[in-house]
Amino acid sequence: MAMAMEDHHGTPPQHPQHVKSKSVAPALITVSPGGAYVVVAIGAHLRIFDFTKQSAVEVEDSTTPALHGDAIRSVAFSVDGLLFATVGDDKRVKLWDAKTWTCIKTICLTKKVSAVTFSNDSAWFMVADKFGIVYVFSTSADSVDEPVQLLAHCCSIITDMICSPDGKYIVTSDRDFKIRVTGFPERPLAGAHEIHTYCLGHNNFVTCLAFAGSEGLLLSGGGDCMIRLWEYESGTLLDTFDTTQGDLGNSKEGNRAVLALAASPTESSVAAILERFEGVLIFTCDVAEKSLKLLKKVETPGYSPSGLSFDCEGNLWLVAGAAETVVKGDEFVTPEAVAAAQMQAQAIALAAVTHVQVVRDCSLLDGASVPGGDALLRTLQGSEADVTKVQTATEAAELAMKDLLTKRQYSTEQRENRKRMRNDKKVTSITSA
Amino acid sequence: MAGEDVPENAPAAIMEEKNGVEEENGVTVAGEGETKPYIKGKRRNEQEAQVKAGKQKGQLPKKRFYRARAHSNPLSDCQFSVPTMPSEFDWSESFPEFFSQEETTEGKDLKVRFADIGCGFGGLIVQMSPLFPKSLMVGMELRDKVSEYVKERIIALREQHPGQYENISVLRTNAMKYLPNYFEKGQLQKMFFLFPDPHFKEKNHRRRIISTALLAEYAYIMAVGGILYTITDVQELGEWMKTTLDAHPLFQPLTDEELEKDVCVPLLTTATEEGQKVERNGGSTYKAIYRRIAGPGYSGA
Repeated sequence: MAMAMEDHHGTPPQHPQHVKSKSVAPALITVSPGGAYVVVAIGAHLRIFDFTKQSAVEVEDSTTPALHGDAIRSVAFSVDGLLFATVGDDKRVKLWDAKTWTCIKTICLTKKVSAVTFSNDSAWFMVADKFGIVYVFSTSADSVDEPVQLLAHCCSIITDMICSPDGKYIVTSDRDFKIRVTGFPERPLAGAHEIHTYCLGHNNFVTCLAFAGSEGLLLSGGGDCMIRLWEYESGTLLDTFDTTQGDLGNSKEGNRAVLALAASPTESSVAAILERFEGVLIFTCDVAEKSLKLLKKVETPGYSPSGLSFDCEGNLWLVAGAAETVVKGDEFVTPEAVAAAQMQAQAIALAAVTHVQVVRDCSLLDGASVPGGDALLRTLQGSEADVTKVQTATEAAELAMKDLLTKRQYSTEQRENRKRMRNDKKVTSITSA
Repeated sequence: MAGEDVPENAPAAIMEEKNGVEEENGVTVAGEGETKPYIKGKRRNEQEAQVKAGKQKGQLPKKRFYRARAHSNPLSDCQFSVPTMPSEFDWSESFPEFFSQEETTEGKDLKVRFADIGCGFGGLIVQMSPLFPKSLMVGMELRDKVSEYVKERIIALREQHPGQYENISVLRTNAMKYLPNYFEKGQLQKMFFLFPDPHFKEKNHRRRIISTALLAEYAYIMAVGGILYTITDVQELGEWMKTTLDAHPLFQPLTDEELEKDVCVPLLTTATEEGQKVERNGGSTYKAIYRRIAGPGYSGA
């Protein structure tokens, strides 16, 4: 009996087929709707540049727990640009005042948080966790903040979440190939129960969503290397752009997943970045024809961007870089351990190097002509941007993402092997041996 | 056989105990694993034969060849193919006879209207088939061996009774994850959840087949006016399902009068192996039967 127990619990089952990659979070960039701030989130840290003062801004956080204790995974400005939200692997949700950069409130959840977005009237903000649950919170400073479930995907990681420009829908994408359009309720605290439609067509995990203009068009990108254009009212697939075609995806290391999408607020252009791809693809989204056409491939030699954002003038901001995450499972349960992990996360974030670039009218601006100039680059990039360091970090982050989202495929033989590791079956194999 | 001394080992004992508990609650459908002597399975087979008395023996599949684990993890990644969207799935393979008659019979509904989620050995769909000969119905089962059994059973029934049982089929799939991949919005008229896994631990409540989040998905694939049937012999789960459904704005309980008239209601307790077992043991069952109603919002029509 003892032997069986030991065998059962002592040695962890080994699956040589699947070696877990290190957890690394990519750098994110976002420009406030009014264009007053550029924010880079790297690791647990926010790097903010204020255009009006032409200087860096530091956040102030008097809430507990203060700041982020692990990598920030998603950031969002509210539509009016007054609020800013950050979520991350430390399971903390933080709402910031985007004028004073003080933390309005902190909410602690029980699972890692993967996406955040605001409702169109900025009265609510929604966060999605890795168990596929979307919670809704009021943005008012004095509301009670018990997590209230708005909707949920069944135990799938929600990869992206956005509210439609008309405010009628909330769109969520997940690891199980799905994009779900749910009616945004009048009373969000009562839950969003009415699924309007599903946008089905991706053959792999969906990574990113973006609305193209206000004409009811939705864009999505995924692990199947496709960028798809949808009419989200009906769930109809209008157009598909294959990023593996031509000279875009002829990579030896397999296909490149679409990492992120951004739609320009001024014109009908859409930008996409791919995994291990030193450049950005600019598309035009023809609303009348309902089609997506590649306008230009802008190369960013030496850097493959990990995040992108349009500003209100139509400039496209790119960031490359990544930082390792700290917290792993339930090891960090004591307050001391949490504090130590936070210190470590902050140190990693401070040391992390990113590279920021700007694309205007389909051409890359050189360092000096970037809006904000040297002061901005110094603020957002951290120490001297080292090409190889940034590149390795970005690649590690992409690998981590793929590892997380890709479904494990096992051959029949491997599956049988894994079955043999099962608790109930194992006994039989011991006795028969 | 390896079966005799195995229970001495701790993990086996744990498994036995676990199986025992769930068996008692009437959830285990079959397949205790190799550790138990197979007398039980044999007895079940005989029972099955009794149920099918008057029909030819020997052609129906034998359950003992389709032993499966009692449970399958609904949260794990699937190792079977799933259609990307409903239009991609070829239902004519599931209902060959129905689809081949397309031209001859007018006004035939070629869309699946009934779904039995977690159909187990297919008792319900087999019993319902003659009651609704014009409606296509599908059983969904996650455990491959069990779904394989149902498949064989349907084939055998079709051979034995030409022209009958052409409207039922079985799919091996994970209904918690992939229902929208098989059914369009508002397609289903009836959904059945008979004796689902109770998942007692609070940690595992998210695996329950009736939850607020999943009800939104069921509401999406169900037609307004469609009926959702649930039954369990676990009081705790029965209460959970009732509370969850009561709280959902898109579902409304049927009145006693409506329940009285509904021909499917008596089948809930009599059609399936689980129901029969509960009845035999004199256990009580908890039903929750609700109608999908139009919501106040955007997708009510």
